[in-house]
Amino acid sequence: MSVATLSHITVRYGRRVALSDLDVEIPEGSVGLLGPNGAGKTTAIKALMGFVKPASGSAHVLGMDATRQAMHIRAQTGLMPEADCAFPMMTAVAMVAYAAELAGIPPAQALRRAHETLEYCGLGEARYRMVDGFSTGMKQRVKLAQALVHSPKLLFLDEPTNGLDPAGRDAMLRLIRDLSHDMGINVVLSTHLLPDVERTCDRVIVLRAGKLAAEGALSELKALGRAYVDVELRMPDDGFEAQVLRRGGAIVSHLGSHYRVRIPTDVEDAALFVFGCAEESGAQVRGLRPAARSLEDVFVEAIE
Amino acid sequence: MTPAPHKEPAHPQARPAMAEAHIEDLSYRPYEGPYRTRLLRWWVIAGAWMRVVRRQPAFWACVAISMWPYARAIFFLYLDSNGMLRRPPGTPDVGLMLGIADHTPGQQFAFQLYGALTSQWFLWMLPVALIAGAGSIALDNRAGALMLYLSKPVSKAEYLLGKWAGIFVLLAGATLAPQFFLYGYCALSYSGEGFFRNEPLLVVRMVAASLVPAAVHAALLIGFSAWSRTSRMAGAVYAGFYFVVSIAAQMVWRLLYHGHLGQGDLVRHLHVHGIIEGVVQNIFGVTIHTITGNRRMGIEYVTLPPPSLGIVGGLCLFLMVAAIIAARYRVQAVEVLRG
Repeated sequence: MSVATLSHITVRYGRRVALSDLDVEIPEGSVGLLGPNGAGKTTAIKALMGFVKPASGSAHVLGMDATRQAMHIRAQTGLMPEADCAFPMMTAVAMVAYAAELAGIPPAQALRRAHETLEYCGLGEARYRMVDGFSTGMKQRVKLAQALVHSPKLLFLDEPTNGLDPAGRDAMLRLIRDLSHDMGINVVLSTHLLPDVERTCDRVIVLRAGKLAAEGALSELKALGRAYVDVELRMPDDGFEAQVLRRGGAIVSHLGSHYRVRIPTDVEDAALFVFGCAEESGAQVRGLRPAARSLEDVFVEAIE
Repeated sequence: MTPAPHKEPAHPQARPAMAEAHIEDLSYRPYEGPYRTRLLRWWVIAGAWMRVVRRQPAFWACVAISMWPYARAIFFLYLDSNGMLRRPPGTPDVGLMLGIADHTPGQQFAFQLYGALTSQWFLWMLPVALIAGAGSIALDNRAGALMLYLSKPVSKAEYLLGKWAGIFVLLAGATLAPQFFLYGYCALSYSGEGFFRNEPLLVVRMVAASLVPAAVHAALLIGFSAWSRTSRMAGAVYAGFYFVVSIAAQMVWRLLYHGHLGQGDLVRHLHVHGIIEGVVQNIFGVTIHTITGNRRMGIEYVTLPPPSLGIVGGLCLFLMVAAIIAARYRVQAVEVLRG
């Protein structure tokens, strides 16, 4: 089931086309919105939030039309913008409580929620300090807290790890994973950082120049299919390579004793093929698994 | 509300950020309590802005200073009640000539309330208005808060209404408080001299008149603030606009109508304070008597009746609507560069 849909949507900024006939469904769970700078990731989020009017097509979030029911959508979604933003002259707890009140939560409950959410986001005692004086990492946490405070069903996170040091990034990614995998909040993570997506998302949507370049479950996109296996031998063995070639296979790459082997199309059992080659050559197999690409490979292939 | 049951995270390493926290139950739980309707969402914004302004000592200092015209009015009323500003029939009315007292039946106290209100607003309330309003949207522009506001179920109209109301309530409060004080002084001191009989609707007029400058300045300030990125810039531009147009209108009026200054109502009121003054004069229903002149022309006694309410009221509405439209055009969740 999808939580958001972009149906043949085109968004123009003057003469520049930011989204071009983009047709994609965002499923439940955690979805990574990938793409190089200028691919249209942020514009897609803006269209879903009803911030920009599409030239054609439509956007739906949680079954509601983004143009006509933007207020209802905003009541049930949270946005952590990419840009540095805060309500001025407020402490973190006042800011998050204010965000809760803007979402309709009564003042007393809003304050309680603000404390809970900021604790969850790891602000601790810093929540009593003015946001203006926060470090980048703390500001990111406050931005996440204000997006989260009213219990949204869908959370848009636009480059949430921007400007964070490794420890801060690690903590932020664990928070995002916790939100999507343990709290049951649907998350759309827009980023150009592939490791962030690999750590937090189950599915990805890759955009290129405002168009859909690839989409699917991370595991499916990374899989190379039955035709490739990764083999680890006890030591490098030329005889094994020769046997693979002789039986119609190919060595795609190898590094030390690690080989990526292409299995011939007429072979049904890859394991039997590999063990047969090893037996013939006298090589000792230490490991065997279906070959997988890195997300980087998937991404590069999609955007080229 | 029944609290939701505590939910343990799926795996113990899922909450690293909470490791050093001090509160026992740190779980993030879905909110299941009541939600308010959107009807008064703008008041949340107004309240938040008022809290920000009220924390500034400069605001209270300027409010205190702005009240001195009321002390002056009470002083003149005191002199008047002691007969110091009254002259025997047939001699010039010094109080009237100097614009400090008016013994015309029905406008003796309205004149004082009107005089104090317009004096307070011409100069002394301007810093208060700037502190209360210049940063209202400019600070949000600078901090990138507009996207946060508009990512919540808050429309642009609610946002602007909230900001306007926040400024309006502060300014109206700073005007109504001394007005009521002066009214109370008059009521207590002159109840035996026909205060309630001669000017029965004075309190209604006073409240209505006090709201006019607050409403106009609040609207103009959100217009100027929306187009600025700092409160200082918004304040400086607004103050410049206010004084330059005011001085220009006064100069044109005096040049065009010298010798018969009682005419030229429209030109005299063709600036922010003039428009407010015109509406307020109509509400209080007072006629101004003053003296003006120079060495060459000699002294001129000028009588200034209230200007046409239709014209100044129309200008007043036009200013407010134009400022709000300008602000609405500028307030966007995202800044889109077109080209």
